[in-house]
Amino acid sequence: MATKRQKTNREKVIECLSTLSKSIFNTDALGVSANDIAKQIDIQRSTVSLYLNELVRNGDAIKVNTRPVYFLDEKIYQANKSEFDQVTQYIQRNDNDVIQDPFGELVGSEGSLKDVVDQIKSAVIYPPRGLPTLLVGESGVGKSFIAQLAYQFARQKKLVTGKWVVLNCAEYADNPELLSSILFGSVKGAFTGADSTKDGLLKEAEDGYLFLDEVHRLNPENQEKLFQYMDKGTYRRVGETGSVQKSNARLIFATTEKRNTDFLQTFLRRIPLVIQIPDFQERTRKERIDLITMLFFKESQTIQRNLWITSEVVQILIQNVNEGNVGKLASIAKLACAEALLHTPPNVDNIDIKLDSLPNDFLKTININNISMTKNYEIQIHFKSQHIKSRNTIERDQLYQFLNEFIKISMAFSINKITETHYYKQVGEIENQIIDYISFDLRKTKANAFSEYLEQTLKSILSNLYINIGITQFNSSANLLTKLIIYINDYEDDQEVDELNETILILKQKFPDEIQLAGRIVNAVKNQFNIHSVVLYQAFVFSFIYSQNQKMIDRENNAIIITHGYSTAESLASTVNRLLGSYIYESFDMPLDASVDDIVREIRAYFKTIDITKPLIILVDMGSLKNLDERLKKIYQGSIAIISGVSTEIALDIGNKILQNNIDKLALQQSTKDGTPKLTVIEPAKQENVILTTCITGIGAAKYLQDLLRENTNGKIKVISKDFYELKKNGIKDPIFSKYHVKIIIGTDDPCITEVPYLSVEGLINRDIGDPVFMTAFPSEFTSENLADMNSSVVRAFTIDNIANNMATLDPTVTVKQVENCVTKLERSLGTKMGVYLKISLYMHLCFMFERVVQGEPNLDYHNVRKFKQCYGHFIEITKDALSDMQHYYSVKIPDSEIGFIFDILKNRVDLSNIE
Amino acid sequence: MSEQQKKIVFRVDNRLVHGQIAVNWKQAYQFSAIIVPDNQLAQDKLNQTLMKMAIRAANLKGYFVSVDEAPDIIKKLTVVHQSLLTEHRTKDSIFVVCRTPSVVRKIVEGGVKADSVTLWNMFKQPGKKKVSGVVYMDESDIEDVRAIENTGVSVTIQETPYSKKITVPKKI
Repeated sequence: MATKRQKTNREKVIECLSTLSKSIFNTDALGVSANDIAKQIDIQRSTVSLYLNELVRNGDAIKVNTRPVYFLDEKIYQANKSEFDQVTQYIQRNDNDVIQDPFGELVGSEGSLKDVVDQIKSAVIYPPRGLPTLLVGESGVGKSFIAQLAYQFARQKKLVTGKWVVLNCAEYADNPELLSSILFGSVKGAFTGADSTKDGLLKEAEDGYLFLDEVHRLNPENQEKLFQYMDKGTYRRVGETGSVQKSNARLIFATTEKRNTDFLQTFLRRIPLVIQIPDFQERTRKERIDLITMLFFKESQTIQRNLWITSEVVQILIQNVNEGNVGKLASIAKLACAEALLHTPPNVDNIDIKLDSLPNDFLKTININNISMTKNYEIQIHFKSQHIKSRNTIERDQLYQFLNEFIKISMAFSINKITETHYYKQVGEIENQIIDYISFDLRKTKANAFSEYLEQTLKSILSNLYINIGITQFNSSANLLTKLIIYINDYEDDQEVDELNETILILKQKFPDEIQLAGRIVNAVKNQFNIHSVVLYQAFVFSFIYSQNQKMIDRENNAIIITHGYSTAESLASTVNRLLGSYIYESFDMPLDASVDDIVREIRAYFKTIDITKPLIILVDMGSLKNLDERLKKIYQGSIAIISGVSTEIALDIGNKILQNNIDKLALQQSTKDGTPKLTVIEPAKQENVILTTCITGIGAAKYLQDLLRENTNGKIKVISKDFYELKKNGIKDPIFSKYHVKIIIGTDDPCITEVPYLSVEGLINRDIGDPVFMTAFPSEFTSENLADMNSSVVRAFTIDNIANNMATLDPTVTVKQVENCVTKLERSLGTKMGVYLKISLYMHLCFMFERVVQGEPNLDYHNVRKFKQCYGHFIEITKDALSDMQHYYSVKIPDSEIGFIFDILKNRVDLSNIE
Repeated sequence: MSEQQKKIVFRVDNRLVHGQIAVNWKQAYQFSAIIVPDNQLAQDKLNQTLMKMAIRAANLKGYFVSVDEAPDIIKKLTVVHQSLLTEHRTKDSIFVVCRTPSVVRKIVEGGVKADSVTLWNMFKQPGKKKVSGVVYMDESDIEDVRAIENTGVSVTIQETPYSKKITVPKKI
């Protein structure tokens, strides 16, 4: 007896949509809602929506974007357009609405296949007829599927209206003549049996896409014909001699062949775009789980049963599908379900997919080692509700759970339910959980080029922060942060989270620096990744920074651990930091043969990021670091205590005291009283912080710098000068270094004293170089504003220096000041900032120009004044305007020719787009 | 073989390289490199940086050398490398900017053949007299000019490549 197969939900929905679409002729209804259908066929509304949206994507249904959303069967709508006046209006009005991207269906389209998708989209869009594209990849990676999505995308963008035509070249590889006639068509009498003239697939795909799968099986003659078509858009049918045929079918090819060089060389040369699709094993683990889940989900819908796929099966599938990829995986899923279904009584809803459900020939080839018993990879699929539970969803849930905890305590803090100290502690606890989770529970993802790149980017952001924001993140865990961000990116989605936005707003008020920093990091990430929810990242990055930041609790000490050998200090420091629940120790691992010089070099970099007036406690593993104290004394301002013979115990003991801000010489002595640890305490000499200037050409410039600095810092900073050659000869042993604490050396030539930062006169002019040096050396004296003032004085002085001897009539000092104002005006009207070097060039040029004009000898020989006036009238106008004060002052008029020369100086060096 | 050499354009300008030099003279002479033989500038990294900016903006290469090194370097730079496609041989020139005529003299006497020499921006200094525009000269300048002309090249005063050429007087 042929019992009719039960209809699937999908079929029910399609049928119901069609019936209901017809039933609303001549009514006011705009369409059929998901609810209508759900009621009619008694399945969940959400399930119905899912199918409806899929139908819309495939072009089988249309969506009327009202509230609620209505749907109509596409065919019925097209056939009865007149009946749906209102709908037509709505649809036209909403044509520009964001329609769902067909590539959304492709697992990994935002991950490992992002490049592929970007490339293929640009190939589709490329005017006028798209680019012929070759997809290369192992069989089953999804080439056909991707090609078809490309077609849907082209349809959606209204680039094509024709059909999707597929030809598998392998089917006809043994009969190239037949293939040729199928592809290009044939005329009557071309060969035996050709009793009428036929068009080929190329014609059939007119206005659409022709997809040639396994294209490497195409013989050379047919390839040649295809190339001719690609070049000229014309071809001949088989047997045709006189006329040529035309078509505008777009072409996509696919091949598995990477090695068949004969084929490839010709093909690669002629096909503009070749896209390599990565194998299953190159996909991320999350994508692999998604793919497996999706395939079993499809099966569950077909067989109408719930599926429980055991952890072992999922792990085997993740690890062992090497060849055949998606296609193979799909067939395994199908066979496994069939096998399991066979052994399940008909009235049982739940089917277990276990190891023995997998096809035998697959099981034979695989390696069952490496299967984790502790981690649960089980996937549960509920076919009716379509609820899926898998490791991905568990990891995702975990992410949002962390987030919710964070939001909860942040809200409690905002209404002063908990104190800041308490808040700090709790955020730290959550962060520790997250880090533990990422480091231990998540399978470690192998570092790839991408994660390394991300880590580098984060490192450079973090290292720049001290100067700009004043947050210390030295040696900080860029690596951990990278892992955190990759974890978020793997599992975040567009789920709305209650109070998340409010939390960020509150944090912005309470911790502006940290939020700003988090924002910068998230921005950098945004440039690399596709991000759904910026605030989500901000929340996590903030909690990371906040909990890692030792500056939060205003501790009175800096503390570091230095050991020899690989990663000893790091593990010691992180153990103690974790035990104490706070970031106390910074760690330095030195190679066994590291000299004191090496250590000092490492530490000096660290000193740049901390307040070096606070006491410093150094824990070292052995007492052999001779002279370390003497060396450090020169570069550190606060007192230093060095404790040799570090152990976990002593690190913990001292760490605890540091945490309680309860540390002094006595406390340290107590800690080191018994046993081996030895304590050395160095008290800093009372030294004045100074800037040292030095100059090859004598004391003149040095004297000038001295005045300049005094003027701009209200005399707070003492500036001393010293003969260059003497300084160079004596080096750091020069008595000046024991008398003063020299913070910066400024000069025309580098005396090469590595212990003190050197700033050249060029660095003084270029703020990108100079500002960080000043701000680091005297954080409380220099601000962005007074450095800007100082810089313009330097630039002015420098310009005067360059022109003074060569100006005959005008007073250089006065002229430069006037010119400076003009240039500022010009910058404003051009809407662009000029670099300092360009400014100096322009200052000099303008000074000489005014001198020329004042003397009645303007340069009138601009090569084509008339054309210049025509093209750049606006530039002439605003430049004359900017120069108007000086024109008045000297009662002169600047001729257009001179403006031309100014234009030439600016044209390649600033953005003049505003005035064109 | 003189056909095998690039043209060498000399310019005297007290200010050496500035915006006008890089932009306007390049437009007129299509050179690809600027050489600045100047002992003072060879030591002055800061002014070099400034000039390099102007040179780079005009998409040129710049060489800062001492006066003694200059002849050798100029000779090296002016050799046209024989290419297989002889008809496509580049025929650009190189541009040498000197602070004073005496530097030009040293270089041409060092064996470099100049194709043209122009003067501008020779600022007023004690003992020098105005010749034209911003060109102030004294007897020793005139003597240098004569010596340069003796190598077979004319020396003129010219503000920009599009300006009128003025002859240098025989006497101040």
